[in-house]
Amino acid sequence: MTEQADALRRGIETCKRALSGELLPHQVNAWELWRALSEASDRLSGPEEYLLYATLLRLIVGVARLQCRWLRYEADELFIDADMAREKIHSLSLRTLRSIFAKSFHPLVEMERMTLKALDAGRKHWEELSGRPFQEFAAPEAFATYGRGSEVELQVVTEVRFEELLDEMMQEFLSMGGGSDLPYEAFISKRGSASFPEMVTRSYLASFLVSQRRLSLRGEGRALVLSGATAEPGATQSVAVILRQRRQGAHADR
Amino acid sequence: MLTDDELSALRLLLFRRGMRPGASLEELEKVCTEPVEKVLAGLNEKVGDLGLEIVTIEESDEFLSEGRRRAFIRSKAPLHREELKLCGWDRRSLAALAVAASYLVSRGGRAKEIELVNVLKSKNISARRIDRMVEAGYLARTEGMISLSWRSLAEIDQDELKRLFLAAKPRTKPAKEPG
Repeated sequence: MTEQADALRRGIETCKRALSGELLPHQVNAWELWRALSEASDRLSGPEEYLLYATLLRLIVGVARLQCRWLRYEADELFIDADMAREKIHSLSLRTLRSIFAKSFHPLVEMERMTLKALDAGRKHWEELSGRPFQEFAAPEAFATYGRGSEVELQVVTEVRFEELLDEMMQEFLSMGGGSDLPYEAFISKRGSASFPEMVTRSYLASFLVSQRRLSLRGEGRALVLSGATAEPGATQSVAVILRQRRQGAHADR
Repeated sequence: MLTDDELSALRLLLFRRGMRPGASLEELEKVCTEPVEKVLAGLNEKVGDLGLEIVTIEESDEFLSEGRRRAFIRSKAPLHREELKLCGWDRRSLAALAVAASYLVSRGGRAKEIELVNVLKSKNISARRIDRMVEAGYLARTEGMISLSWRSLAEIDQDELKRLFLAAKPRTKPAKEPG
């Protein structure tokens, strides 16, 4: 092991300590490390030294970035010392902490399924908040709840022919990928060509195919992949509770 | 009315990929014919009427890379207490997040995990809450360090939280009257 490789390793260790929080960023002399790196650059020999050189270079950039952030953070008029932060949290009640947090909290909006109970609670809240009645079409009474197998009793599938829709979709899956795996998003969006309502309908139908084990869904990294399942159709099925809006007015479904 | 580009962007922003909503600017570029910044600015104006806004954050768990920028749609104004309840937040979870976020924000976004555990314990909050916050994307854990993660960066107005945190005063108990 050469002296030069040792120097590079020491530099890497120092940077790692700063990046992991063991050292404060300003405790690292980045210029010193940079000088060592510059001196080493002309005398590198062998792949190991090149690797150490590249690693140290990458880490010095990280440390410099951290120092920059730290400087900005300490120069901030709102800088709070660690002990002060702990003391402050200790002195405030949970209720106060919750309350100040809630004032700076902006939850993300994301597509979510809603239960009837949550919808009902939302309706009550809306009415209290606005003093106006919830729109009639969105009231829970206007929704029918049904599970698989109970469609006929509720007479909601006489026109829709639910099973046929599922079969059509299964055929489409087989024709799109020739039975091989397909990304979930590409399938429900018809590779980007489906409109938004169509995507919602397709994802809803696809969930039934998965619950019927005609398709299987698995995660690959951050993506979801649909594949043909080997289980027989009609095997044990989960019961999905879905909402269907009863049509009103001229489009009455009565 | 939304343009085609804005509609495509809106879909990507609202649907989850795995557990994560929002979309990276690179993904949005793929579906937009116009520059993404322009599309997002137009969309931001329109969703503003619904009390929502578009925010972008830099997605990076470490300091070594620039990371990708990711856009989200969030509520423009903070929610009322009742609304928070309806969104599924119980008091204990909110308190745990409030304590963790207040501490980390005041420490510049990251601190040693053991420090955070001690702070939570001092408020009688179980350290296991940290695991839940990590799963939900509020916190990120790397080699003994805890930092604010993508969801916190998108949902929490850090400057506002720091300002409120500094300005908050502990409630003092009224002195007992003699006799």
